[in-house]
Amino acid sequence: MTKRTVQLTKSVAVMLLLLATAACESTPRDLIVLLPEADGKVGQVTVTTAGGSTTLSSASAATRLNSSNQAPGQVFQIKDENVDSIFKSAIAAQPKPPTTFTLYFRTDRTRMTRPSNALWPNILAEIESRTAPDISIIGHTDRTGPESYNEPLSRRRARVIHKRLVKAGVDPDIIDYSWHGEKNPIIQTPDGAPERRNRRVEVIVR
Amino acid sequence: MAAGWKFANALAITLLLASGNAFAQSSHETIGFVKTVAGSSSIVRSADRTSAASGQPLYEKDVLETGKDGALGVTLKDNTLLSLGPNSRLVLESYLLQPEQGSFSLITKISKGTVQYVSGLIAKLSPDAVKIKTPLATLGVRGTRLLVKVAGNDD
Repeated sequence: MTKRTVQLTKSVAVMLLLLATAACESTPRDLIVLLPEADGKVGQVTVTTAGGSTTLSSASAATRLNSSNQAPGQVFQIKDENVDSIFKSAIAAQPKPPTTFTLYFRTDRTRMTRPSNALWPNILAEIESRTAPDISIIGHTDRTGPESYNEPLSRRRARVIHKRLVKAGVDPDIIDYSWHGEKNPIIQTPDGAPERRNRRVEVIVR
Repeated sequence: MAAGWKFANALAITLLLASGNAFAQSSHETIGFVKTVAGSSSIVRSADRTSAASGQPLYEKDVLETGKDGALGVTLKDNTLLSLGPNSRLVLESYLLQPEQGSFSLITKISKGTVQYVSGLIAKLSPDAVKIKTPLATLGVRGTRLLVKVAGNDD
């Protein structure tokens, strides 16, 4: 190799290196996008690096990150087709959002009211519609009677629902149940007051 | 409207307390389940790798990984939804529901790939307890749905 070709090779190498570096710098590493929730509400996300911080607070607002020392890039509106091309698989893999059923009870009873009982097939259908469901059951009472009585009553209510689900063929391993007595009312009432909306069992199907 | 909001909050708190009571805090508390799986996807638990299967329970510190053709969706007990596109890696760093002590935490770490996050009850009731970490940044959320792409090392 002549001295001249060596120099040429060197300068080509340097140029390539510069190009590569430039390419790296112009290709942002990371991307954060804010989307509306299923109900249309838009939340907020604050992105913080060692170099600074920015907040996304509108639908399709996005920011890019290049390095931890730099502040997040200027907020921009990302196009739907770009969201789709980058995040299609992640979005498609989203599990079905959980569904909550609230079942009501008569005072001091562990039997559901008639309208709540009518919901039963919907609960089973919801469980069946999911490929890998898990379920939480939470029992409650209103403030009729003492707390010491209401705690076991709320447990009995939860247990009745649990038993009925198991009897319907739901695997007990995917069900958990718990109870709160009168401590977590939907409607605040004075002690001793009956309140039908508080005499309930919540069933969350995930 | 105000009544509706109160109702929603009461319900959320109720559900949250429920989750807190239902499980004693232990290292093998189930914090969620795998719900959707496509292609090659795995769960890494203390250095053991298993193929992800829908219905599989998840614990704190579990690592979710997807291969070139993989995708994975999980639902946590607080109703948070996390889903990963291909070539992605997410660590369930911390999950804590101790409402009676006022202790909440939901920290995930995304080291590469594409992830969708849809917030659950922890984000509703204790927004500051929710953090999503990436190699370059930390994200704080106010009840939301967001997408994160991390280039990662092998990109």
